[in-house]
Amino acid sequence: MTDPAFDEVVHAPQRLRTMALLVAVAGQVEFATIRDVLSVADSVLSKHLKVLRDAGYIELRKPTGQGRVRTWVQLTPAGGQAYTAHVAALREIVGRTPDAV
Amino acid sequence: MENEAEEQLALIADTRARLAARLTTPWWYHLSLAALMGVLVLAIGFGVGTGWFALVVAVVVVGEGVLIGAYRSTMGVWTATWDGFPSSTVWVAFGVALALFAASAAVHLWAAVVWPIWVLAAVTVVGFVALGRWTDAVWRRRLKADA
Repeated sequence: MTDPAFDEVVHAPQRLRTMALLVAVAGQVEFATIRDVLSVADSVLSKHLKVLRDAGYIELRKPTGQGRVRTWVQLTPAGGQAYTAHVAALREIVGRTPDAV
Repeated sequence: MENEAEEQLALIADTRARLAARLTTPWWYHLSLAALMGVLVLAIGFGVGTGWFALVVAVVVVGEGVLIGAYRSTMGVWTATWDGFPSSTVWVAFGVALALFAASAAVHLWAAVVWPIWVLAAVTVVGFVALGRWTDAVWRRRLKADA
């Protein structure tokens, strides 16, 4: 089990929601889908994705040769660990059992 | 601090609920996948020659690849790991497919009539559409429950 660890990178609400979405899917999510689920502007999401990518928590892929170029986002193992530890810390603060998230 | 943590956990729950609401597979996906499975059942049941059977398998494999691409493009989501997918429903689908393939082969080998093959193909199509919808429902329920 991952030890609880508060993560400043994950803590920002839009980044937390982005990571929650990626963890839930456990695969790849397109930029536009994240934007729509979070109801944020492209520029806002881009900014947060850059922070997550710089932290090594996500990978961005832009497959070419399939018409319009789309950006696909995927969680890295480090990102998954950081998210799990952060949520465990949140649960610890509110006094819940740090179960699966 | 406690309130903020509660708010963050609520944000996670809200995000997962929004995602669950969005995960409605297009009607054509399950129907097309079911039709491909039905074609396989027909090919086994009618005992087409090896060359034709290889062609049918190739069509099914390519067709599933095209379907996956279309799904990804339409939904903007792709789960390629057992962690994200309700694997129990996939195993049920494998089991059902194997049973239908075996039944179709049995009809080919031992039955004197061909109508059961058409019945099996119809059962395959209807069954796989139902399995697809069930998989979607399980996935959505799990997303909400884990929130």
